[in-house]
Amino acid sequence: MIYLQVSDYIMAVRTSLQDLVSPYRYPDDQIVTALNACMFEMSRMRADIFMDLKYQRPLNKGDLSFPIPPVFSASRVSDYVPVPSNYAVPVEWYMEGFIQFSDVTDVSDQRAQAYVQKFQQMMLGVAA
Amino acid sequence: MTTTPIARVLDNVRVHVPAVMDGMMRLELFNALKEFFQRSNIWLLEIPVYVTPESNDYQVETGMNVVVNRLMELSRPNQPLANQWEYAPTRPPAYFQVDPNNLHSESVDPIYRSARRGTLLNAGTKCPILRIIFNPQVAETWIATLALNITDPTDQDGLPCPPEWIVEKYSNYLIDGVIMRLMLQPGKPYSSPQGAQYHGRKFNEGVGLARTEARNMFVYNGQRWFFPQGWSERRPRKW
Repeated sequence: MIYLQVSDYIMAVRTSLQDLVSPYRYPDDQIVTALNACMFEMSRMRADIFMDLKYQRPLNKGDLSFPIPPVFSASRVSDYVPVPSNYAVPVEWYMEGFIQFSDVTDVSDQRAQAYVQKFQQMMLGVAA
Repeated sequence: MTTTPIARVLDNVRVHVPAVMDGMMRLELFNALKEFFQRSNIWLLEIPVYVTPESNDYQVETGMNVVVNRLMELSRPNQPLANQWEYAPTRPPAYFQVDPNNLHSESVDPIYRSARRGTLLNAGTKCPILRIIFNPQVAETWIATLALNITDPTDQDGLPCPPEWIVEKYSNYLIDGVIMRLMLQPGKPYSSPQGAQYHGRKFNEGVGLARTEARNMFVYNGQRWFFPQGWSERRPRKW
């Protein structure tokens, strides 16, 4: 299984939101905040995703390491996000929805809601 | 250990349970194997126990990364042990120690024959204590047949290390066991109570088959051979 870096998610979100030219509409901090929100939401819905790595190595006596998702920052964009690549797309859907919610223009609310719903469907269903 | 049968089991599970995480498969494979061995007693190990007249308690060491689940039997060696006293056959195929210099030896006087009965004080640990009920008059070697189960730590891939032949022989049932447990998890893309029920039935079928086969020592329509009851010097054991 492949694991992506924070910078990969930032680039994917910028591409999807057509925000590739500097100065950016959405700063890195805001995108990483969306990534952190996604991790918290994901751990609530699917704790098994964060246990994936834990059970792919020996579990020794006293090894507890509860699968709490890490908190990322824009200063460390090379950190790996512990979400397997087959769940990378829902992460991007959530981040894009979360960022669009922060826009003051009301017209994007419906679109943002659709993105978050897409994320939820992909987390809980096989084909969404 | 990652073997071909284990890899085949995991691949089958991956196909039948879409969107499952690798770590979750390993977690539930461990659980399914644990239940399989717990209920079937198919993983057996015979180890010699050096019993002395002075002590009732002996630590059982298997030398493997396993837990000892049950004591199945305490018996005599079924072949002469190397570097020991001479052994004479008694009830075939058991052997007992011949020590003509020791008047308390069972070979000299059968009145000193002691029943081989015991219990595990802390079954479910790696090195449990075997407590025997009747001490022999002289030091003897007994054979303890133990039912084993998997335990932590797992190998470098997070997989338990069951005997390869068991995984190969009962692979279909183990696949069903893992699928059943995964489908029972709530709030997942693969949650399916109906599917879990179906695969649970298949898994239970496998546990029953393994238990029966182990009891019959893999002989078709067979059972372990016993002398008629008239030959027994004591009432039959309860276990």
